[in-house]
Amino acid sequence: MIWLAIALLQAGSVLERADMAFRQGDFEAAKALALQSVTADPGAVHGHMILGVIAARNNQWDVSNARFQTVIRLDPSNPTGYFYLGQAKLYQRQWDAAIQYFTRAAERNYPDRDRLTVELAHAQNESGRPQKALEMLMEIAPPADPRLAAQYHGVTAFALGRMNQWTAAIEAGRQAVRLDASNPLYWDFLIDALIKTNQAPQALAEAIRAQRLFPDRGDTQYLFAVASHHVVESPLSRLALRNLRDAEPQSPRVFVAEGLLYRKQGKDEEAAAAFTKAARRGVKDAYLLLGIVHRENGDLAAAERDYRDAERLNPSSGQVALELGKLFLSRGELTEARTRLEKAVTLLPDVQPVHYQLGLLYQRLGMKEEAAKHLRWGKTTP
Amino acid sequence: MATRVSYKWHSKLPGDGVTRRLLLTGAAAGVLQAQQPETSGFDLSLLDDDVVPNDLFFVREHYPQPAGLSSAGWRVRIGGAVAEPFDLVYDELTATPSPRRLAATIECAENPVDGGLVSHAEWTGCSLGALLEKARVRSGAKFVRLTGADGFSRCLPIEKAMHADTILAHGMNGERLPASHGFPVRAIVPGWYGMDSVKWLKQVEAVDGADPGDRYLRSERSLLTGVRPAGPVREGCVKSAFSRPLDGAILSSRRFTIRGVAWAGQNRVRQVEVSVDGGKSWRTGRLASPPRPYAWVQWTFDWMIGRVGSYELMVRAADDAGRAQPEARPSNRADGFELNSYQTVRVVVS
Repeated sequence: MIWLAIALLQAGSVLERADMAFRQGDFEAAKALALQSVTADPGAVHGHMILGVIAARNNQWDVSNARFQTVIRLDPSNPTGYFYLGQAKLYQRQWDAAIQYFTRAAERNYPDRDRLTVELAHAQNESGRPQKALEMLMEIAPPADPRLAAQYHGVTAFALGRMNQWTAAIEAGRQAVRLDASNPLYWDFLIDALIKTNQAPQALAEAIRAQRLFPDRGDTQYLFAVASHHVVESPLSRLALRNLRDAEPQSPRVFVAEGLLYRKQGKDEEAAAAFTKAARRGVKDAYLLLGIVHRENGDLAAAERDYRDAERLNPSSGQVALELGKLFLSRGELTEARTRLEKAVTLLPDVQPVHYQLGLLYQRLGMKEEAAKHLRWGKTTP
Repeated sequence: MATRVSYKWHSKLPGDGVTRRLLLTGAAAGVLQAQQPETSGFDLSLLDDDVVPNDLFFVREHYPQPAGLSSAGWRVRIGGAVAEPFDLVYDELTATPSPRRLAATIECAENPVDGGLVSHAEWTGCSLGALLEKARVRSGAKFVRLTGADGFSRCLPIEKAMHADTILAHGMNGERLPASHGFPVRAIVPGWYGMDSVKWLKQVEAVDGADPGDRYLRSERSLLTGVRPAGPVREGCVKSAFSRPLDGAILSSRRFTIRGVAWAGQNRVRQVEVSVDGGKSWRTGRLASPPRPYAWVQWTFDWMIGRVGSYELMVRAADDAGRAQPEARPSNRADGFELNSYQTVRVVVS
């Protein structure tokens, strides 16, 4: 018994050292000590916790899941195990599982309510419940910790975006970026939302800032290329292409950026060839861009084919709906046009060109009041 | 000195209001007037070609941009201590059959170590020396005073004014000079700091002595003598800069092409070296093209990144006249000019 007591005491002190190493960021040492601790005492909840978190940091999900499951088995009333399991599931994009575990952590009064709420809201939004996510976030004030506050605003932005409330989403996105400029996902969202809502100069300004911060990140450089394309006088498309080639030389998105540069140079044939290569290699955006080139060159049949491909691959794209709607409208196919343009306005309710096209459609359908409303909206500067 | 970096972009969709081109046209028609002097830097992360597009070229004004800028009737008076003063009319300048083309990097004398008050362009104009020869400068004249329509003036030593590469420019990167860069006519004094390349040029005068109120003076401090002037700021120093990554960048790959520029005033850049360990060791960067006098040269360095963590990257250059950048600002310098010590950028690799 004495030896057992000594062993347990020693295990306890090893655990303390593991904890200290963990807090100091020495994860190698923390892992080694924690392993020692749980070997000596399989019931050392905190040791399993440390090992689980370290495994999660290294994306070793099987290991981290097993460790956290051990924690909740050993100490079912401990909310932290459930919280960490929820986080692990979040990173593995298993949204419903994440929601379950976060909920159980909440039931056990996990102490950091703000953090739990933000993570749970994130999971709710990603699982397709943006309204629920927003309701949860509204139950707390933006946290004081800047990183957590950034996450709060980031999740708010993502949720509002899912609900097509782009003006508010962009504002929340700006808050997130302001509070935590080191998270590229906030930048991606903000730039993409600004492009979608026809605010190209603002999108380019943000993309310029982002490409400076994340010079080797393909997603950032790709958005830089797209934003530059949308601004007529931007001389930055070639630079964006170079940056993207540096970041991901084998990526099919390079063909899209090439195509955008060719478009700027007025070389439509070359642009179409580049977009075609990108489309064949699975870049969804490429079909829309190809369709635009074909439409501008008068090949409406090819444009329709490309837009339909884009629609099939990206059914919730407001831009695709708008382009397809414009095409049908130009050909007098009003029923098809109406389906697409009414879809576009629900997806992009704050975007002038959408309202303008819808106004033209309603005019052709003899719906004078509706037409006037949307044409007015489509002509005023937001 | 904190400067703002300005981007004046406009969308391709109609109804977005005044475009940049309209603004420029308005400037040519003489309606554009700034309320206060503008200073905005070039964002080096946007460096692509050697030449910086006109819209991105840095702007530094000493006084507000003049009102009523128009090429119609614009004249530059060539006079002072000359036998045959004359007016150079804008249309004559632009109609020169063999215009001088000059690739020159211009840097503000107060450009910080990591600053963007530096850019490169290809200028079109005519030789200032040829104009002074036409005017027959008198033998006692030692300087040439250049005066802009904003009231700013600089005195150049006669030798520099007469140098074959000192020009009066009317074109920039193949376009007419923009208003913010000196339209209709400006001086380009290559290899010297930007204040000598006087904008909105109205007067070229041969004079006997330099202006007494020159603020562009080096000054040094010592315990014995306090602060005293140590000569005019003129020729550009050798200097180098990163274009990517910049300070605060977050990298995720294990191989990254570091890029930047280096320049050396009237000389050629001889060598650029990069350190990825805060100056403990240095390796030579690759110059992208043969170095030229007056012009910056781009350089690259392939960085194989061993581990995640924080890094201090540094760059230094040397020129073919034996000059090299100092590691730190000499402690006895008491002015804010010629800031050309090594640039350091701190990045995180995650």
